[in-house]
Amino acid sequence: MPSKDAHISAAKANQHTIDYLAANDEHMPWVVTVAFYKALHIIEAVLDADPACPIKHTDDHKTRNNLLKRTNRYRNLWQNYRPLWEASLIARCLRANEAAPSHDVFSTYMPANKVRSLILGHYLAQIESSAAKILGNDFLTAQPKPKSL
Amino acid sequence: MSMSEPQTSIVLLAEGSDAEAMVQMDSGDKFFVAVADAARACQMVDRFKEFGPQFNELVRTLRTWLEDHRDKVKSAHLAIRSRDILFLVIQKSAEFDQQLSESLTELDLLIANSRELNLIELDVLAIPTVSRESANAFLSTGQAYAPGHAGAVDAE
Repeated sequence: MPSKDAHISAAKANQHTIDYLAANDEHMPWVVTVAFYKALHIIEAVLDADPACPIKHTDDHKTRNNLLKRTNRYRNLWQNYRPLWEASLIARCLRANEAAPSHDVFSTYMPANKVRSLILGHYLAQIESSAAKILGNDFLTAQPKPKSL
Repeated sequence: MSMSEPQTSIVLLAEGSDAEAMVQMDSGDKFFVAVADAARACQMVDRFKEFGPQFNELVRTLRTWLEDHRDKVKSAHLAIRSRDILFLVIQKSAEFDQQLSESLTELDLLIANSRELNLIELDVLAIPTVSRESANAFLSTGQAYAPGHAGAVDAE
């Protein structure tokens, strides 16, 4: 079971990938996908660190989603995580319309400027802000503490 | 003359038991089942009886939401999957609709936290307008059911 620090480390690595991919508008479906996984790692870190959470780790999307939507203190996380999950599913599973195969569904669904303003600037930012209340304001920038011997 | 009372025998199915029970059907078929599984099956039968009315209430709730968003929804489908139910909304527009998506999130929260729908495991998803073939990527994992076909809301 990965620890809180392992999840935060993965979230930071995801952010490096987002920064790299976001330089090119053609990579927006992958930006959304990685943004979703960054959110997932942040949420897993929250579950691990939150003393009020009875489950420290979830193994699958179903369990995680149920926990978020049925726990009042995670309401804001779910309100911003679900649209990310939805957009990432569309990015991965609905690239082309069978009726018009040459048409790129995702770039119409969510142009690059909306990925930047909504996915990264709003939903992901809201998740980071909610998580900071439990993980600390600097959780994405602080260096992990060395383990004591 | 003695009158014998009809005998009712009670068989204990303890969930913690490691014994097996033999079940004999009227047809003569017999099968063996772990007593622990039989005990859990009884519990599931009780829940199944409650599930039907809850499913009807779910469909009523979804129809109300669809009526409220009729101008934005092309069609809606329920896919009955192995672990849950997917409520798939196909938008009329090809662009992400923030208002529709956030309204769907609120519907999801309402259903997930409703005591009257406590047996319902629902996922909700809104996708842009695409052909039915493309939408099948999301529906093919379960048995599709269109709430609108029973009467009210399929805008397709």
